[in-house]
Amino acid sequence: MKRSWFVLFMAVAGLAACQTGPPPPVVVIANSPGTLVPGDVRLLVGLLDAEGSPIGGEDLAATVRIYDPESNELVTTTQADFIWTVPNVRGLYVVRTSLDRPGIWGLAIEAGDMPATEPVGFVVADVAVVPVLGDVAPHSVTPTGSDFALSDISTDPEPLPRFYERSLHEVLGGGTPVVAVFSTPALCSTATCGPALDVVKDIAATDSESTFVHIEVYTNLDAQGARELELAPSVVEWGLPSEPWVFVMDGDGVIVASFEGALGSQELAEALVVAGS
Amino acid sequence: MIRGAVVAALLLIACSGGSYRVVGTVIDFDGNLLSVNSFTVRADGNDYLFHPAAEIDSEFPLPHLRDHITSGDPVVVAYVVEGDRLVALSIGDG
Repeated sequence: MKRSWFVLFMAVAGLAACQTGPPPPVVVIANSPGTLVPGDVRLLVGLLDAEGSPIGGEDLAATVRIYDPESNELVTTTQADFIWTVPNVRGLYVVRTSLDRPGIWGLAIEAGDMPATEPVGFVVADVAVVPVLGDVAPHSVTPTGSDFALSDISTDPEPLPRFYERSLHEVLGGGTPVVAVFSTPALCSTATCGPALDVVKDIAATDSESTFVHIEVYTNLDAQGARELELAPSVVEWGLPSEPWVFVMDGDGVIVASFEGALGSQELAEALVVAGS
Repeated sequence: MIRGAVVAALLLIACSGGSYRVVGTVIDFDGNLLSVNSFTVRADGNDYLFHPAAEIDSEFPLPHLRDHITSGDPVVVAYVVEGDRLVALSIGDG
């Protein structure tokens, strides 16, 4: 009799184990607070497994659902694009959508065969802390190679002189698209790291029409501690809460695209088409 | 459920004293380009909310932690428990 109960227990346990699928992934929204405002938004979404390791890839399709901040009703469903942040190692999903008002919106994601996540909140602010699409870009004075050695104004181990030829204030509104990259390549410490600047440099290699400007975020990266760090004046003028950032301006100096944290080559190429049209 | 796991982890380490080490992924960051109030690391299924020590030993400028959310690069954090807070003593690439 005892043996029968044991067999029955094991059968039920086995059945339960078979029916238990993988848990939903953990959602991490990487946008900085205060950078999303009503209008077209670009959300950076990371997925982690239950242990906390990043998951995702070009072969893991992700469907995103956006929920209204007041009614919590489903507003839109869209596919997310995957971009590598560390080539062929890790990446993020990019979600592009349009949100019509401020509030705490909800985002749920269903990736591959995993169950959908519960909605997680993200804040759309009334006013952004950074320049947004449609704004005239701040005409900041930025250091150039004519005034400084490149090693003094760039931590890029292989700086392109073209990125430091002219100050941002000289090129904005000059009739051609401008790409401004605010980044600190020296902080990219791993061999597989794929900083935003490298993506921009790759695009620049095939684009002789646009103007590219790289701006270091800190003026004294050799400071002993974070408390001694000083921000470049242009970073303060642009109100950047994080780095890297890439902005694309049209010939009138109006911002047509912005990318926080990470970007794909295709995204930047598409933005430059818009900027040049 | 996550909150429960965090509380359990806190109780476990609070009862044992000393300093600890965790390797995980940065999932949240409260700060800006010059300062960091707190950051959260997910490791082994638990979320650890850290407050950096005033003299934290860091391999990189601490605000760079936000970039780790984007890159997914793991970090290793050494910390102590002070009351109900986890205070990060050192941090580096994991």
